[in-house]
Amino acid sequence: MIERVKSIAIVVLVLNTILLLYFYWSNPAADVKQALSALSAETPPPVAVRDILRPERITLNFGGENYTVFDADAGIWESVGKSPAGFIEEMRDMASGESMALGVISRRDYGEVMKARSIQADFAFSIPFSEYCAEYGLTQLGRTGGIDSFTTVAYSTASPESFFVCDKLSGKYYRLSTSRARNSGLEALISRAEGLNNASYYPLRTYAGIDNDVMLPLDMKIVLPETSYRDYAVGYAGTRDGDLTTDMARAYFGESFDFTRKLTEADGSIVYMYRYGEKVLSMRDGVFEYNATADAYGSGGFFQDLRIALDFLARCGAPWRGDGAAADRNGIYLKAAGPNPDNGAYRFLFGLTRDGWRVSYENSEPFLVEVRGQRATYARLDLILCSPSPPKPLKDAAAPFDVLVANYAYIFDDLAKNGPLRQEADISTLDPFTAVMERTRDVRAGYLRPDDGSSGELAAVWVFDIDGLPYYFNLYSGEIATRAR
Amino acid sequence: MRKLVMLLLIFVAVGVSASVSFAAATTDPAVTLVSPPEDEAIVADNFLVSIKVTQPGKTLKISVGALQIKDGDKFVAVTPGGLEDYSKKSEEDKQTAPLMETQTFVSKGSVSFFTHKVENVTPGVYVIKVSTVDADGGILFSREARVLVKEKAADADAKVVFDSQKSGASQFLQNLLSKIFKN
Repeated sequence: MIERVKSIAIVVLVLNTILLLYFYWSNPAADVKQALSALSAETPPPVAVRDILRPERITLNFGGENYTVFDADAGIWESVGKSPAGFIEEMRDMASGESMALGVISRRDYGEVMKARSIQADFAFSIPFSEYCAEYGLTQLGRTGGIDSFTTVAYSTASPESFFVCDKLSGKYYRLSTSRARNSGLEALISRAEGLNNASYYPLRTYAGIDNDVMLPLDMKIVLPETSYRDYAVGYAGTRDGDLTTDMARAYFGESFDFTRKLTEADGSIVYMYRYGEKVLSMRDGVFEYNATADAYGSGGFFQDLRIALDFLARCGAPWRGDGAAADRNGIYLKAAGPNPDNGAYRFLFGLTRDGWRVSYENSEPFLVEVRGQRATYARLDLILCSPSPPKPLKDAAAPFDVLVANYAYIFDDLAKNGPLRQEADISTLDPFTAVMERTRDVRAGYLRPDDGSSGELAAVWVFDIDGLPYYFNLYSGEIATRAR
Repeated sequence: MRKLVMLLLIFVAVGVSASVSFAAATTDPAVTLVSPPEDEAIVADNFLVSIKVTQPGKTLKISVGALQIKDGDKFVAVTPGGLEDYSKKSEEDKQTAPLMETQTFVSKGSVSFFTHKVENVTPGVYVIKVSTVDADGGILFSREARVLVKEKAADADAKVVFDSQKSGASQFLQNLLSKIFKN
């Protein structure tokens, strides 16, 4: 009798065990949700591809040397009653039901046609054209073939039946023409934008007589209110389950967290390792670095890999959204994208914005994610939180061309020591002023997170991109804003 | 007699060299008008005056004016095509109407720029006058540059960059060739 009771009890226990394991394994999200809830009250959904893939700059030519420029974050489309996908919609409308003709044009012809009333949308990186058309339903355009990638889409009243697609990084220019006479939507947009109180821009060739079409504002009233920041790791309150590193590790490893080893290295770095380095998360001085072996090789394409990177950021980079009201004024943008030639991964570099203004880091970047196969195989996160700042009146910024002229010698010396000019065979033959003007690629206002301390004030700066190197100057005084490299 | 001829020769030589030096002093070699393009017609309702100076410590006086000729009782703008008539007019029948107050600029460093946006520009001929002055305001060098501003409507006949009508056959062939030779 006792033996029979024991047998029945064992069977019941085994069955209960099986049932418990079934319920546990059938809902693995419970563990991930618990980990994510340790970081924030709720996990935000991933940023949509269409929200992050916006042109970084819109250049409008109202004709007669009247230019203005909108940085994408300024919301030009909303200000003239369109959605941010306005350009895409106009291209789709113009192309729908039409047969498209593709022609290759020269850079010179492109420059000529853009001298008329025109609009150009520039991305910071090359995007595969056919994937872009497939993503946005531009079926007709995608069928034209012949365009590998692009950085710019443009429209000009000098050739109103056409769209222009360019890859300025590789120097290729294309004209897509339809049988339609014009695009009334874009022409109406140019007219409406003309009525706004825009800053006047001129190309650098007009200021300096150098062959360079980079746009600079003549002058500008601007307000970038003082904003204090702190590294996310500073003052992190922690949760009942642990500190920031533990909470981040739970988010990164999910259900594998319980099988990780935690190591503390001599320099104070904390390392979580799963198996024998299949996944490794380290934290040092508030910067997180993640490595994982790839589950497959090769890329799934620009858009698929971008989705994987955005999903990864939502799961593991959620703290960047900050807390409370401050979070709503933060944003991210896609700063650079391209294949990593060393390992075949697709690399995405994301930047931070604050109140629509970009936040540059002096010697770091906010988020870098690499995707290989179906997963993120590398990530580096250097997070900050910004505090609310009171509204301030508009103030005159230093004229950026004057700042560039006043500091060209300093920039040239730095390019010669730290930049591409190191490789020049005979640098003494170069005229420093001409060399700096020719190599100026971009000028914009924004914030700078200095490379000292884990908290402080974001500096309001002009950022000059000279041959790929950033140079920062105080937005209002024009003085150099960083230490020498 | 011989002494008189020698004296005359010396005076002539001095006079010629002086006139040559004065003639050479009209344009300051350290001052360049970068924009707008000189004697090149533009279509605009504004233009940027950009002047490059390659010596420190120079004082410039810059003014911009519109050429006008008398038409009845009033002065009207000279058109780009009316310059020949303008040159034939007497001084009483022509004037230069100032568009801005004369600006003073002092250069710093080995390269510096003066920039100024001239707004509300209508079709006509404009003169940019740049003078280098000394400490007492005396003019050392002076030059004038003309800017021709055309009617905006004339831009409709501006250079056509592309043929807007490509034949279907040629475009088909171009697309086919692009696809064949892609990559």
